[in-house]
Amino acid sequence: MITQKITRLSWRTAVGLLLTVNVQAQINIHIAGAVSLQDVTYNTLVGLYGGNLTSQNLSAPAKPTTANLFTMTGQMTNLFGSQTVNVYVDWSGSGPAIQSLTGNGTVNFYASATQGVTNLVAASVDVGGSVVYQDDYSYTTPVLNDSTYGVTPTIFAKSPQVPAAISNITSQQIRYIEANGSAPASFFTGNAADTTTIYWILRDIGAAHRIISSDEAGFTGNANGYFYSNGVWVAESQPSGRTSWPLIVNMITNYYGPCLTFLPPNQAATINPTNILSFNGSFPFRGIYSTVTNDYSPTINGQYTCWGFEHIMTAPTANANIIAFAAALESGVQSNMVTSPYSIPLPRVNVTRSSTGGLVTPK
Amino acid sequence: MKTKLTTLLLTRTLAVGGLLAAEISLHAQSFTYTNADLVAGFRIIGGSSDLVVDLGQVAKFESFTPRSVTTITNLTAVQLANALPTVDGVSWSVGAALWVNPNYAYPMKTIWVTSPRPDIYTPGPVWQNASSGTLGGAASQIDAIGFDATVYGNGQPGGPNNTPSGILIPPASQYAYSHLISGRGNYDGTFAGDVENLTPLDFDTAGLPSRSVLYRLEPDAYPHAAGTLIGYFDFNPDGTLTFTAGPPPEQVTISNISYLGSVTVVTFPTVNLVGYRLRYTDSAGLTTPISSWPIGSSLIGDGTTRSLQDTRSTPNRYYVVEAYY
Repeated sequence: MITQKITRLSWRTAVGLLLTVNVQAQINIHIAGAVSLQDVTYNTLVGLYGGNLTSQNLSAPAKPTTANLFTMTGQMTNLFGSQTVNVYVDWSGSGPAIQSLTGNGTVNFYASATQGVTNLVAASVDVGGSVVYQDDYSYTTPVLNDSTYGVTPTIFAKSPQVPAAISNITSQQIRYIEANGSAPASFFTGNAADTTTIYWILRDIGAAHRIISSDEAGFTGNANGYFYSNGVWVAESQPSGRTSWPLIVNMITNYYGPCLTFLPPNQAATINPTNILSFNGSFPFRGIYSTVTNDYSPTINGQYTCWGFEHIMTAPTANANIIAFAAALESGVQSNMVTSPYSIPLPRVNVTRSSTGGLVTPK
Repeated sequence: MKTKLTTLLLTRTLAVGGLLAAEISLHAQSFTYTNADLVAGFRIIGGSSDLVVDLGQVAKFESFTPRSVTTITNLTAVQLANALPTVDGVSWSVGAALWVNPNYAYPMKTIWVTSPRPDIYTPGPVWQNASSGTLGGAASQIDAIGFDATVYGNGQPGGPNNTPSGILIPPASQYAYSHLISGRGNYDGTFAGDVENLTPLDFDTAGLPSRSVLYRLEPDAYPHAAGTLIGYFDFNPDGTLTFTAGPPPEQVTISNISYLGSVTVVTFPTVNLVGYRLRYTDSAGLTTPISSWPIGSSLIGDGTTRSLQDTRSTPNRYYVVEAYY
């Protein structure tokens, strides 16, 4: 009897050990951050899996490169041999990614790689993407591993109801409209008869492109804007719930009223190119903005200065698997960026700067 | 075995207790700001920290009875000492801004800002109302002092230097008071003048407060009206901060003295809501401090020229009119 019990116990222990070994064999990697490179990052991840991507759960299954939330599973044989690798991605914005990487919170991910399962699981971020520096946020310690590998411009846009005469926005106008939340059209057109109110639409503070545009304009105050709700424009200060670019794009593209905003390049690609504004007299690209390929010469050579570096960040305590994965991701993204219409690989850029919004100088 | 189990359980309980304590310590309440709170900022050139203090909703300060004096307890000696090596050469200001706030009848972008007096005897600038768009720039900047202090505080552990009402922030930080008010003390160029007072280098021994008057500025049309005086703050050499509702007393100039028999009539211009009283002495008392002279009749000023009377009991009497609160 006693022997039987011991035997059963040993069997259970053995099963437990086997299960433990199986669980330990899986590698879980949680990615969060700026959305501006979501297309090339998705393509890079698919490339890292190669033919061994077993399953993926996408928030936008019809157009995977635009998915804001997705979870993948399979093997990355070149990196981790036969181990199962689960990659969880939430393009939550740079802020939440840096906050989590510094040990100050979690980000929500799809718990399952089975398409359509929308249960969320909160987890600490392992690899963060950001278009601004760590010290652009209040989570400055511990200092994260930070590698820059590209440049992404911030693009200003208007809604269809904004008068055609408004085709440019200046640093001073950004400072004014971000402090007041709105401005008379005459402030842009110079025509005193243009009394239409132009509203400013804001993403939450977690959005790196908001920091880039504010810092570039020299705005240091509390950001104020408006959002469209139930048929009226409502004033808001430091919006905390506006965490999704599609919400912003919805307001700027639909005929709610005259409004202006800032967008990452991939989101700017979803609006009519004629509604893209120049900034201080320059566009970040030459010609008509395209979803296929763009000539970013004005950004590359320093005429257009509203841009940020693409960063990939990991915690200083990241384990060897995370470090290896981040290096492979960066390398793959940099390769894919060469053909991306939305960002510029760092080696192509002829200028540099030492901080977000800082002085742009020749390299 | 039972003993061992009990010990194990006790150990685990203690361990959990320790973890809970650590958790509580990590999540001690940090700095909190709400729109329309009055926020004081203190800084010193070369200092290692700015101090930001939330004084509470500005409506409370507008409701105080004229000439009542309130000590600002949210400014603590500990935080002041931790932030500033000395009270000499300290730049400070107090401000508030209104954005969308259903608790106030004032228009959005109304601001409250301080006007520094060069010394307690000399008036500072009377700030003017301005257009909504003009005040919006300053309102955004003032709001950011409290809001950004909250953002910074959320990234730091709570504790003596990060409490719900006060926080120390390195001046080089983008969230710092120094960064937001800027070197010229004009809210990074968004306000028409310097709102900061600067304590003199002998402030700790000279015995006089550093005084700044609080004005409310509302959006209005051109030509803009003068702002509304709410009261004044005194930052004192002992590191305390007080708020007195209503206008500050000014130096009094006696414009006329007349005699009706044994009654002396002393006439002088007054400031609305400021208290005035007559002090007197005879020849022998002239060498004693005025503050020790007997107090005679008194009145509350109304902005017009008023008189105080004294019935003489001695042939020679000397008078002083004292503004007080």
